[in-house]
Amino acid sequence: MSQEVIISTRAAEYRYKQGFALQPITLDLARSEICFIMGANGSGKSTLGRLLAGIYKPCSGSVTIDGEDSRKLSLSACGRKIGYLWQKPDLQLFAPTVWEDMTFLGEFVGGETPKVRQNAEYWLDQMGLLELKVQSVHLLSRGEKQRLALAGVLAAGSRYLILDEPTTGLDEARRGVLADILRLLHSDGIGISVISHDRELAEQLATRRLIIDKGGISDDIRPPR
Amino acid sequence: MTFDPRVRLCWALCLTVLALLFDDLFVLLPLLAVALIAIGCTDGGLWHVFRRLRWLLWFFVIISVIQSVFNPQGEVLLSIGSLALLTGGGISLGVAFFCRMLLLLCSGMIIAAAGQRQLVQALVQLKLPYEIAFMLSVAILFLPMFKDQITNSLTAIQLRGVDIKRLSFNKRMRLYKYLLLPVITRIVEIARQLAVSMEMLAFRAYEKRTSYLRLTMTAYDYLAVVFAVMVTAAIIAVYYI
Repeated sequence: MSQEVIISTRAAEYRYKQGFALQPITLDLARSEICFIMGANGSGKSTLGRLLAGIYKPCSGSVTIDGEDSRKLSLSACGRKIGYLWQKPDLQLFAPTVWEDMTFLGEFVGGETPKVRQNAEYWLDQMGLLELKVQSVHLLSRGEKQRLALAGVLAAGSRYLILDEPTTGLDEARRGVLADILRLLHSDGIGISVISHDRELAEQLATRRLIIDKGGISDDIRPPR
Repeated sequence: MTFDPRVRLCWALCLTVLALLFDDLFVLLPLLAVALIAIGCTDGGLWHVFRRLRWLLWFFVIISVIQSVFNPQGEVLLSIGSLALLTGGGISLGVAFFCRMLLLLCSGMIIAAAGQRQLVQALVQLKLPYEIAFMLSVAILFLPMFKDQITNSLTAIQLRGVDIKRLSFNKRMRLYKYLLLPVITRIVEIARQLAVSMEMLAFRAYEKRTSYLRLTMTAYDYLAVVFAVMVTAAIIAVYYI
């Protein structure tokens, strides 16, 4: 597995207007890792995730995504490098049916239609959703919506994934399905960071654990496997 | 300094009436200064006001320029051949429009700073039916929620690799069609959940409601109302009588 560093932060800081601040964070995230970002509610996990994904730009210090300064990257450029899965998958679903949701962006990203279709089929198959491709998005379960959102993110070409609380609202069986998908993606060479409270999932998957406390990293653990 | 929400409603009403009645810069500019100072003194500083308004300021500046460009009154300041692009009258109309819009915004900000619960109670104590007062406050609450939903959807779609800035106008419109439907669906869903929650909390279970919160006007509040009404009446009287 590649040790290539995809995201690198150097004393990166982020402040909200309301006052909460992420302390200067220095960190390297490699494709070979499944990194769990853990911590109490309000500790700054999601803020760190968005900073790493390039959604938030650092107020000071730097965040480098695939060798480029995140400040100089547009959101679409960040999205092509880092896939970000929001806590609420509905936010990432736009079209009425599963198939349309996977393919409608083709016309906007300038991709060739056959290539977009091939890509969509590949990722729907990987997520176990190919049979549901004519299904209405609104009729999908939460777990299915999440997998569809994940397929959409991966179809954009990301080589690194950040998932924000992906197990919220999932039962044990669906958590198992998600764990299997993450293992599969990781074995395909996709780096993964998971923002989560789920210790059980972390026990199963994590090759690294970052503990966030009061906006800073209080612990960086690499459990022996 | 904090004022009763009813005082804020009275100020907002006076400002709105004056902004709609007058297009004279000699009235609008001092009014705007007074409104901004009032907001600055009561709601946490002028800088805070400007930061909240900065997006809309650009919109108003553009509208003002358009007014100037297409208005042929006054001295021609800029022209291409016989076509006047910028005139003195146009600029003054544009600035007046800008001031009026800012005054209306200030009115909104003065009311919004009262807080939702306080505002509902103020309207109820002004004898407005509770249901309508509550509906108004919920509508105010939904505006920032709608903005958040749009912002999040725009971010999510860009993260899927779409560079919106590079899209042609037609494509951009087609993309917004995809964005709008889920946003409206989510807002309707939130509204439905809110309605269910209200039913669960026995909203309208009885014809009359009691309230733990009671607003009481102080002497300063009465003074502020009298002052605002008198100034408004005086300005109208001077110009129209």
